[in-house]
Amino acid sequence: MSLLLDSLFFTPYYKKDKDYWLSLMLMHWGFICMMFHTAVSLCHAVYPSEGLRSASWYFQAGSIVGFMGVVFLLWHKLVGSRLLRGEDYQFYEVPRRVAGYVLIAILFAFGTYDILTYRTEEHHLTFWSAVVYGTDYQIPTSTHYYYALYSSFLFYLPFTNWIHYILRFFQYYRVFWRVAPVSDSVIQKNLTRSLSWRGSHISKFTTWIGSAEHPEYGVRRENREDEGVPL
Amino acid sequence: MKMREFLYRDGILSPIVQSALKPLKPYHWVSDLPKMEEGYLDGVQVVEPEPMEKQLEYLFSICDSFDSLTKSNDNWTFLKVLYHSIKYCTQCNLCSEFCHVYIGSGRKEIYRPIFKSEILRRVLTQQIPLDYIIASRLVESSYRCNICRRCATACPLGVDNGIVAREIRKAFSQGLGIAPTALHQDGTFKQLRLGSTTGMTPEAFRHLIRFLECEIRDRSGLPVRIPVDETNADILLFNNPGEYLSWPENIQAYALLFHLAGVNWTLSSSPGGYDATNYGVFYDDVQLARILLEQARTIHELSPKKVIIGECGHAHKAMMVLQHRLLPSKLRINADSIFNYLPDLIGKGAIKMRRQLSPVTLHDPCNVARMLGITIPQRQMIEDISTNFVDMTPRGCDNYCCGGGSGLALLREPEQEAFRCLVAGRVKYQQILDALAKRPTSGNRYVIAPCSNCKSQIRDFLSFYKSDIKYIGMAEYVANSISQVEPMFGG
Amino acid sequence: MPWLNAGGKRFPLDKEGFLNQKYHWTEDFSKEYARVLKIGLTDDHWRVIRFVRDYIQKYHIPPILKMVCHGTGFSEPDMQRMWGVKPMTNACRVAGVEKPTGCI
Repeated sequence: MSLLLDSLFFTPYYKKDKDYWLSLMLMHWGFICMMFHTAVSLCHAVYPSEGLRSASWYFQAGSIVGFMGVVFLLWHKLVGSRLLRGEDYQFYEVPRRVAGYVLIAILFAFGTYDILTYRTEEHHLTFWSAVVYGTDYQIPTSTHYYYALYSSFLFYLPFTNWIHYILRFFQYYRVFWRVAPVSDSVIQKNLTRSLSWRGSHISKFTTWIGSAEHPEYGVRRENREDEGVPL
Repeated sequence: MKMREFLYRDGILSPIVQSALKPLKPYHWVSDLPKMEEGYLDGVQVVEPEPMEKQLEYLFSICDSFDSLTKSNDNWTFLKVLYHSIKYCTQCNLCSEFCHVYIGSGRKEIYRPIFKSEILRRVLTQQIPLDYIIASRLVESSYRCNICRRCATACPLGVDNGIVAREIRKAFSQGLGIAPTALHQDGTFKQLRLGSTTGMTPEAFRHLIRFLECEIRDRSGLPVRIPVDETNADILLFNNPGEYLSWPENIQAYALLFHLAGVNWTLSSSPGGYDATNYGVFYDDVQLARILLEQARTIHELSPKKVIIGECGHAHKAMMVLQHRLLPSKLRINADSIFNYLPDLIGKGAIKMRRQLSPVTLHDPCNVARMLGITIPQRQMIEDISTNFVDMTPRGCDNYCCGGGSGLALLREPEQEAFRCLVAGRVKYQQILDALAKRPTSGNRYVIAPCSNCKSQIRDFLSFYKSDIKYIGMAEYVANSISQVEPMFGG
Repeated sequence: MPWLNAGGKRFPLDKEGFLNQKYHWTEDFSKEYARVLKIGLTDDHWRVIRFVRDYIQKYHIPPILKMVCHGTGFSEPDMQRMWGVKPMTNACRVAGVEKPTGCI
């Protein structure tokens, strides 16, 4: 029972980081709603009833929740933690880490658009009853793309680890240190970056070009014969 | 999460870190050869044991330095390589079999190439909290690597443990100002202050060159000149100043060769023009940039058509590779290596050569052979000159480092000399013995060491092991074959 | 850090045996150090010491062996006989000058 509660409410994450926990919760509840929505729609296709119809509507509205969750999660992963802010070496990992979440975000985006524009559960029920009975159906484009992307998850979810492994190969080649000389514009931009090293021979300078060109260090300065070294 | 925050748990310093903040007891960490005191780096004490506030401050500075290593603003020069090496190592230990320090020490675990990388990896990914015992040992073990990068050629993923060692050195030097005296105060700062890491000022240099010019004229009987500060020269010879002081026959040999070949060459006596070395290559990016900038400006003032880098491996690294990644294009220099230029000159037939008979083998400097791939021109030249040339195995790009690379040959403390001769240079000495054992000896046996660091290291271990093999530079060896003069350059 | 007592003063030496340059050299230092290194000082030795010290006053760096041989008139075997296998090392030690650093 406690395991079930942990997996529903993500209690270890609540202890670690509350923002992250909230985004995880929202996204996963959006997924759960999506799954229940599918189940209820299928049941409704087989055995139509009012109760099932309204349940289906409520579960469909979970899409909005999921969308908010995944957007918040993306924000947290990219900006809220160190990934893009401060621009450290983790930025090589950005494509690999966000690839899956972007896919989920697009899926939920279609679902949200559908709810907000049409405000009805009719299209989804039509789709599932057409799936069950093999009849023709007419649904708007957004619902159509929603279900196209939805079916790609049948492939993505079981093979998530494999796909991430393949994405690691692409990340490797992005990181691999090439032997070609660096172009001038890149170097000029790099030279104006700021420094935060605190060694005594660097701490008074703020940019790389400033620290290299300062006349205090270099033989061309006026008094060359001072005792000792400014350290 | 910043590394400093990781040292705390619920607002209090974690117990592991607290227990480590105690006075240091000197004990022999690096097993018995050589005896090093824990927390000492080339006679510079890395940390003061008391009082506790200072220890904590030091610890925080180290954390901040390691944080800076992972930031693109602070480490745009080598960030990609560091990330690659930290993330993609599979700990297969293939690199260990390729490391001459590991093998020379009798396979001691602390000398594995990935020992220090693994500790850095765990510190950067915050699996172990950093305390200053780990930090002191980390910086000490980073100065036990020659940065020859033979491990990087072995790795199937291209992980580079040599550059990781350099990054550790950089974190300590740029973040805290801790570096061995011979490289820092007496190295890069001396070069910026006086013009050369040897302390040779331009006046001393000019005086020395005039003296050497007179001497070579007397000895050879030819009107040899060593031109200094000539504008409109075809080439500028950009040499290591240690050659002028310890092996002055090197520049005399070049003067003789260039005179006979009719080359319009020059030296430069302006600060930044006669010292090709750049110790920042070993341990510090900012010092590297300062020295490189000064050298580039001096050379542009003299504006020769081409700059030929003399027999110095790390000058090749700084001038032929790193300048293309650090200098803007209007300051870049048209540099070539003496290993390409001299065989061309000899091959053109302007100088009549005779063959030499003594057994000779060739040592490939890491920065020329492995980094730049220049292995064939000098071999062909020496094979043409010598009848008794024998090559080492492995050679070329697979060669072993002499053991003196990345500044270790400059650290003159007795413990460092013992490390260099007993551990780092062992494999190379074995190679030299094996190569020259194949030929019978009746007279002098030579090993050609075409790089000042390698010459210094080979001189040290040849005298340590009391060997009768002589070492000689490439120019002297070639100049001994000139048929117009008697062989006059010794080993 | 080893010390040398000479003429009533204490001179600190670095790990390789060269005089710390903040201390002023005296003739007693040379005599005592030569005695420790078991070198008998003669007029020839003093010529070399004076040459080395004059050179370093002008150029701030010890002279190379060739230059000392040329300036004092001794040959390299003479210098080795006077000062040992590595003549310039011992000559600089006794003359109280510093060893040049760098790739040498």
